[in-house]
Amino acid sequence: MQKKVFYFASCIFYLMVSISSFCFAEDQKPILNIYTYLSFTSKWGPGSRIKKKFEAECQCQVNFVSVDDGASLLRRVKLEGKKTKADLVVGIDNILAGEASSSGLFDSAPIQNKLDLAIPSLDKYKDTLIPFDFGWVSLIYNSKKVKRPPSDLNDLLTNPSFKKSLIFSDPVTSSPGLSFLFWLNNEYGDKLGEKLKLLKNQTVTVTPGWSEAYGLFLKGEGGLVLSYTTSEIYHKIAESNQDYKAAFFKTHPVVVEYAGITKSSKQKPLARNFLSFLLTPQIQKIIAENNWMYPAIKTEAISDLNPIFNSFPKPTSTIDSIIEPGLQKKLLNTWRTGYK
Amino acid sequence: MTPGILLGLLFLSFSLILPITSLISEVDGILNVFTRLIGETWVISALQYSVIQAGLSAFFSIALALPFAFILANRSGWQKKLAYHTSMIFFSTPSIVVGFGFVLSYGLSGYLNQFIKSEETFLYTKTAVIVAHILVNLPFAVRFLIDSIESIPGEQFKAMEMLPLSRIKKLWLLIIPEIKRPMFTLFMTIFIFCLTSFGIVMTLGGGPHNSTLEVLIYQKLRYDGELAEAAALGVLQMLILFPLITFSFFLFKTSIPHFSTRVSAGKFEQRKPISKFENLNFSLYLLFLALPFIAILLDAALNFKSGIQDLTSWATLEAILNSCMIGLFSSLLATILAWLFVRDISKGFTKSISFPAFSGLIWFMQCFSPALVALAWFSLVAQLPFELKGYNFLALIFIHSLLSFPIIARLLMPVSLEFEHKFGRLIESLKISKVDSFFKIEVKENKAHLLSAFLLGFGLSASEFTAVLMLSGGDFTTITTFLFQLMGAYKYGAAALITVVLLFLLIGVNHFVGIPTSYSVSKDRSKT
Repeated sequence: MQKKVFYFASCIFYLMVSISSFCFAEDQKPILNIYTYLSFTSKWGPGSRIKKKFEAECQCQVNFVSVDDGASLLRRVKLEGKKTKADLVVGIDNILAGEASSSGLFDSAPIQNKLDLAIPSLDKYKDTLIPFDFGWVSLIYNSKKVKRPPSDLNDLLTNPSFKKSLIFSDPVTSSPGLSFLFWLNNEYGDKLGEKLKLLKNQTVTVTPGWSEAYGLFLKGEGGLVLSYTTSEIYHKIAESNQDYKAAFFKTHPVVVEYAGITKSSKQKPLARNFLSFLLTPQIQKIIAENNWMYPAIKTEAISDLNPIFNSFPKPTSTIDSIIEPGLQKKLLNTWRTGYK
Repeated sequence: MTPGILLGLLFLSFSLILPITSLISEVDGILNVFTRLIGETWVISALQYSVIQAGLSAFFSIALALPFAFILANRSGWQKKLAYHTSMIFFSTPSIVVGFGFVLSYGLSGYLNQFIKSEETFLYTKTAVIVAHILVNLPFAVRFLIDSIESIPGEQFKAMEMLPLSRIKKLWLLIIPEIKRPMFTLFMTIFIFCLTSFGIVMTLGGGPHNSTLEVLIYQKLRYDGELAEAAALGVLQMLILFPLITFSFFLFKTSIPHFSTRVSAGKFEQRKPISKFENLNFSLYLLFLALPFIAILLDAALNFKSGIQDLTSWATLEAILNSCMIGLFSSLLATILAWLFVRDISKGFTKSISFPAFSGLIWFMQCFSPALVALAWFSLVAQLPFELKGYNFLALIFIHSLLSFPIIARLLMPVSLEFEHKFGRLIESLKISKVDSFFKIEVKENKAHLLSAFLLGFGLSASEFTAVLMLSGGDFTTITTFLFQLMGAYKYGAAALITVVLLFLLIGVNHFVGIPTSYSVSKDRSKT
């Protein structure tokens, strides 16, 4: 009898909670639906802070919908098509930006304030996509485990001291992973397939996303991880930890993250305001110090930005990961067949 | 057609046939895509990987389970009760939790490596995936084999025991030949489960050489946005499963199982007590099962302070609530429909047709993996002319019901048959309405089994990962996707804490309700 009462009560409780969540979800304020990637909206990411500040200004409600990784952002919008509820997409990287820009999914996004970008070429897609941060892909190493980091990609692939030490994210499912693949392709061209076999010897594991890779690296599963140069800044500032360092090679691929307004958005004025808001100095500071990427606008324009963003070394040469159509698919096929 | 069968078929039509049809109609030129993909080396590689690791996982799960099942069969004691309870818990444990436990215990920086001061690990290889599959399937296999061995008639078993043969010879020469049909059924069940493995492969595999077709379907939909290729991979997976299932179905033709009218739960044959050596073996078995969970417990304890905030956050509660809601409704739906379905089959006068048809249907449904069903539902919802709010919640209820239905139906079938045998004529002779006889006699008499089936469905739903990951966005999480997010955010402490709470809940619910042992299924019908 007691068991019956328990179960009946539990059912009623669950029903009440679920009904109430539907009821209380309604709000009179306009809602701005923003699709972005998971780490942007996590507790340690910039999303919650940006949301709070924007909601205070716009008298609206910002609803972040996060997907696993930047790589799946565009796919999701494409799959949803006209039924997408996204007003804005935040976090499309430069590898997919060309496809996004020409997809017809994004509306024009003229920004009122003049963009004073850190790197002029960042606004390549200024008609549809606005850059909000950028960084350079690199390897981060644990200086306690790895005494001497790799000096270049060749050293990484061939040096026995790096055997079973690298963790990186899958190029199929992850933007940094894809950048890594482009990096390798830029270095080796037609020999990419053979080099992937060498890469496998040096790899501990390939994870679905950057977060999983970095988590395993911090857990101690590997001495090297694919990440961004700014990850070293994070450990220095947020954790006062000097153990994790970035390895600097001759060239590094740059990753630029963009935001765009969807054509199907019913909140276009609000979305444009949000885009402008993203590029204000105070928000660019939040993005830099929580997303741990360089701000899209010049650092001089951000008065109270942590000085390490200026003093930290930057790669001398950059590989621009803007790609020709079809190359991405070709490289992913090479990855699938070559990495074994 | 009887109402139960009609309802069951309607449910299958709505939750399976309709979405699959929608998917096929949505995808243009699926045949061309399929033909192209078959020629790709990475697809062949994934196919080989899926089949090989599934075969090895199933083989070793049974090979390792047999000795333990033999030790525990026809005996009483805490060891047997523990074996039964652990089988239910492992069934409900999300696969990514197992992967998580493996990383914490067997990883390069895992507790075991720290203890033995080793710098090697077998993780992130095919071996790790197979070992993790064995861990997940072993308790279920042990329980299933205990039931199978106990179905051997008592006198026959006693005679076997008295023969002057070693344990291994008894097992090989006498026991295995008697239970080869259930063993093969078990092999196929584990094989299908491992072939469509997702969570374990995601956490312990990695890369194109360590991916199953199920993972590729997910990647093709979520990352490449290639619905056609995802569908073609789903079809390929089905084409692998279908002939295997058909072959096994016809090779071991199922007929109505004979069963003893004596429920064996709680009654044990008189075997010698478990020896010290057997106890030691059983302890090693428990240690193997427990190690990843001990690692999680340890991690939770060490990271309690940092993890407690996440444990008590609204995001955690929301994830648990979503899982419970989906589990509750899907399991309720599956249990009710499965019971109505099997009882009508049990009552059916055309048992010679209906029972093989039932078995065939149950087997056939296992051709459809969670990824394929989720993909089909995704396609169905996308084609609706209106926006369906909360579609992922509704879709997951139907998908989880569909995935649980064959397992619950199979679990309830012998229950229904025995009930029909024991009480069928008696109920007919009573002059009460069908509704009254259903609720006041049928449900009452079988409530323990129905509850057990419901719990099983609930556990399966709560631990399901593939369909949830494919259909949910960041705005809708269940406990499995939330754990995945936490692990992805390297919040291992919080993930460990939440896992510990989840496991205690599962243990608590199982213990609180009580899990009845299954009816004994023996060949001897002479004793009534």
